[in-house]
Amino acid sequence: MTVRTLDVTLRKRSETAWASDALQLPVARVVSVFDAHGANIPFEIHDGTIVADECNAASLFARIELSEDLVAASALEQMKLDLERQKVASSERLARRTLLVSVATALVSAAAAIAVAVITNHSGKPDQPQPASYRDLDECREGLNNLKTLSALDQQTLSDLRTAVRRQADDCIARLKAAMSASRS
Amino acid sequence: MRWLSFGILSAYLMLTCRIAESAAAPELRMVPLTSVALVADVDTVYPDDPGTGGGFETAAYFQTRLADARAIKACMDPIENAAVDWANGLGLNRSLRDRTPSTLTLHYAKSGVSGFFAITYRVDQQIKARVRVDFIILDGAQTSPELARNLLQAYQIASLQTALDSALRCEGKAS
Repeated sequence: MTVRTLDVTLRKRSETAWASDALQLPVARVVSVFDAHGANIPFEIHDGTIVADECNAASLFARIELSEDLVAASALEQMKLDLERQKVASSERLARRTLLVSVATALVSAAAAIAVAVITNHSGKPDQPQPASYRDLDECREGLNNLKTLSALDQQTLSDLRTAVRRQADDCIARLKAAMSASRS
Repeated sequence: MRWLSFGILSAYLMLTCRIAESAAAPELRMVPLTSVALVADVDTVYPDDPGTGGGFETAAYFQTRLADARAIKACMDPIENAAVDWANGLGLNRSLRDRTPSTLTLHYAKSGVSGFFAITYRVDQQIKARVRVDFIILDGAQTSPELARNLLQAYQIASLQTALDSALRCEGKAS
């Protein structure tokens, strides 16, 4: 365990009692008390206050030791902070997933319905290019694939994903409408 | 007077919403990092193809080559292998693979990169085959031209394009 030593100036509280804020630290241990000339002064500690009965000095100093527990305490705080961050990240991930799943479900069901209609109408001739409606559905599927990957990227944010979902939903709806019109005609 | 103010405010809000709506739903026409195609008929216009409707330079960049109809066939494995070789060399991880008899979609991402690469191969046998490479940023939009220029170099898109060009003819590695 690492121990740090430092000298602090004591405040006179009464004829025999001296204090310092540093003494309030739970990991502080008073090693010695000395006067302005460096002479050691006998002392006792009562309730976080240094009592030096045999001293008439105008100013006193204390040498204190701070153990590494002080650092450990701050590490504990850091861990708490990390946990809080993880909680926030986790709830954001959950919100992202819910948003994505709801939009994707709606789009997939719509795409499936249209796909059945298009496949029924598709002539399947090998020398004819694929109809526009087929391409629309394909693009729509691509968009959903993109959303799937976007939602899994480690740098993704809720705001960006929301924009992506909105953008893709708008595009997909337009394409599905076009495919619906084509399948009717 | 209050009703008039209310009416004007409503009209203003409706107008603002319309403008916001149109701004929020931009055209999703993507411009790829590269795109190579084989077609049996060069005169047929495919409106969804990159470069269509653009200038000569754009059309030349997104290559469309005439090929014998019999040479336009499904080359899923060579395309996939070309993509895998490219991705492995750059430390990219595959995050999605969607394959059907006439379509192949591969997504590659890398930790710390704000977006992903999408390699999309579509074949309409004896008519047309096209493979394209896109980079999609976090909000689902296409990368900006400035970023695209950096990506072309940093991710060796030119060599990928050469490999995909061969793979389109089913040349190269088959698994």
